[in-house]
Amino acid sequence: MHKLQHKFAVLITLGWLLTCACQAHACSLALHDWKRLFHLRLPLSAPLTPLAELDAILDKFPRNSLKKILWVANHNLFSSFSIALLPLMPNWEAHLPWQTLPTTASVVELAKGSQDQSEMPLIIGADQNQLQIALFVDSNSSNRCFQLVLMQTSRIRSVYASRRTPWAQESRGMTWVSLVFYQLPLPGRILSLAVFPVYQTRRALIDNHEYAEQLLAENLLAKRPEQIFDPYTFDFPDLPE
Amino acid sequence: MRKLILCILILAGSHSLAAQSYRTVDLDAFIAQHPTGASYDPITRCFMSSTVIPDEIASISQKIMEIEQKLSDLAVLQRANAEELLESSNSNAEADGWQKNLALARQERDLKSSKYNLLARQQDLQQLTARDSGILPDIANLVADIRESLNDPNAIYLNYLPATEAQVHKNWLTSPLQIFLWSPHERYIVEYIDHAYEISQIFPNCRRPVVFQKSFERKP
Repeated sequence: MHKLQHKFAVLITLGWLLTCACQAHACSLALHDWKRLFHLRLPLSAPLTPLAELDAILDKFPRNSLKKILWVANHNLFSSFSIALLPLMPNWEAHLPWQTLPTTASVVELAKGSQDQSEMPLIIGADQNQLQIALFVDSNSSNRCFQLVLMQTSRIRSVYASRRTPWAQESRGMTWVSLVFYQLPLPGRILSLAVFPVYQTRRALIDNHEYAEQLLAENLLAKRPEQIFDPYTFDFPDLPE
Repeated sequence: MRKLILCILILAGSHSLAAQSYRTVDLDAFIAQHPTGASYDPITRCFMSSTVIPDEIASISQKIMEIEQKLSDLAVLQRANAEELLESSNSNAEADGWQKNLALARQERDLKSSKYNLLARQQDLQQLTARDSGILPDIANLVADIRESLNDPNAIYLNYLPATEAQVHKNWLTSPLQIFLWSPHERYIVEYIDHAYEISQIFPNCRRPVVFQKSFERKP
């Protein structure tokens, strides 16, 4: 019961963060030199969120051409609840009815079985799921600025068994959340919180420029020169394979 | 003593220049006869006959069309691959189908990446045509043509520029350069170069043009 309450608390926190989200760039003021302090890799039965699955099918189908999406994985309580967050996403595919389905057969077999249905669903299967947790420290801030990264990877296989225009795609799905904070991960000390992928790019949910400017003015962070900014690069070093 | 050493150094440095050969070039006439240079329109500040940017935009458009055709052909293969997957009767055939699917997806990703790069380049060029800096590629080509016409790498080329109305007053003739400007004979500029103290600052490169008055007619 206690475990369930904890999962709901995390879910509500994520929901609150998404609700409060505003469009902004991630920490673009400071120049960090991230050194990995801690790294942990955990196998998962199912993805924690369907963001990578949503990203895998982005712009692959004409708008409103799909009626239903079946998300196939060895689902747990968390993955089952996570589809409740989909209506918060801007993609039209996120607003379709998503249904979780346990892995009883391959996505191809499931797609073959759906060919005779009146509303043919798009089948998206996720397996080989992993969660990586990493903590980085910024040596440019005398090891006082940290970045916590939660990265989920999976193999995504999608099949749409239309007789006229059949479609299949395998891809590597990646979703991550990055939290940059100064000394402690407390509300007043958070510099940025970013999520990937939203429309195939990173979206900053929190970007506390005022706090970053304050730390820069006190020389507690290194200032990022204007020419060193590439919005398409990740803000943390690659995690080990 | 310091002055003496300085003088020796200057003379040693200017010796190689003094030994240079001199040739003339009429840059004004060259530009006037050049197909691009002659088409300069001062009102629009463009070279009217220039095709550098339009040619590049057309070339990029052609490449984008070719990529789109390849993507279209690839879509047919991907549809066929999906059909094969849906017709696969065992797990081995399914695994082969997914392998092929990955290879096709890689091709699609590479083609789309090339297409986006070309689209970005095309957009940059289209924006460049609306700016004054849009003539820079033509000027670069023009300069390359001028350099190509100067075929002696060691010569100092004396360039003819349009003469100004203002004449140098005779009372100002205090140096060989001023004398040369008043009476533009090559021997005066040679004398000036031979005796100038800071020759390297004035002629850091043998191809740096020396200004002649256009009215000067060189005697054979």
